[in-house]
Amino acid sequence: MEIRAEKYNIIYDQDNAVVLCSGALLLNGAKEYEPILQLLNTAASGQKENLIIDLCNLKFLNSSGINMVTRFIINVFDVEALEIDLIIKGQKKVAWQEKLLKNLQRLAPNLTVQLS
Amino acid sequence: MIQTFGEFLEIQPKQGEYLTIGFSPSCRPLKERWQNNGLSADFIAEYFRVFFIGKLAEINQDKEDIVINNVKDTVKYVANELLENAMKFQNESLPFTAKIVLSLYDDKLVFCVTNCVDEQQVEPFQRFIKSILSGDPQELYFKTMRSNALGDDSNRSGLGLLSMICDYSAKLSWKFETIQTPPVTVVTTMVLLEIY
Repeated sequence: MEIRAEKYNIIYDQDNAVVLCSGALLLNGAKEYEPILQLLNTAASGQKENLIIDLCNLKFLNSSGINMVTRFIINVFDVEALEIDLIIKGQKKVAWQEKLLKNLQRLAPNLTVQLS
Repeated sequence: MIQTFGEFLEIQPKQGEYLTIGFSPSCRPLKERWQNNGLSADFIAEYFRVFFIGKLAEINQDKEDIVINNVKDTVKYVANELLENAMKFQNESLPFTAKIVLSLYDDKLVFCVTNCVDEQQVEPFQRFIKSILSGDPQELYFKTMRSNALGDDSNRSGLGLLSMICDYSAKLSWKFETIQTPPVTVVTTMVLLEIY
């Protein structure tokens, strides 16, 4: 399952339980982010043990994108209460990724954050 | 009538280094050129990047690249969020050119975005501004993230403005000006980033 667009790619590798996000996400509001949110939710509900969301190659995320990622995290832990280990990866040297991951962990303490 | 919220500075844009981009709804509906926000934000961030290179001469090359890339990301994020808001809330039935001005000073970067808004948007926007200025922005930020995630209307949540304050240490202020011909409220959002 994947979403390929001019400015970004979201690729779900089911066998390795990883969603790779790359490019720049500057979509307009929740409606335009809905297909990506659906992909993430499908990936999470289809895995039994763990799922990695890899943001290391994501160059930019606007606030609607932050909202979409937050919605996904809350859905996994609070709404669906899925029993998987959800891991989100980012780069320590990219300040916005470090801030985003720390904010998400504050919202969902069971989220595993990996900063490389 | 003029109302200000926060520490709004009357900047003289003709001083120092500045860049202005204007957007007129008569050329093409603003909401149909969403992609241009990212392009404009990229251009602004890239344009001002060179000014930071000299400031960081004393640190080593690897660290300098990281710091400059993060400054560039910050400028792009703030410019893009301000442009998105201006496009979202601009009243396109009025012949008013929305604009973004970025001014560079020795110790700070100042963004000003000006657009006109519908009368019915003024009161809720001012209420939101007052809640930011009088409360704890961090608390409001996390509360907004959570309520958006649980399905509240995220289009008007102010998450972008809150993230500027909480994630980028930006200082925000606003000016609301009612002008008579045509009768309209013009909002200027000012974002100040201190340069370290």
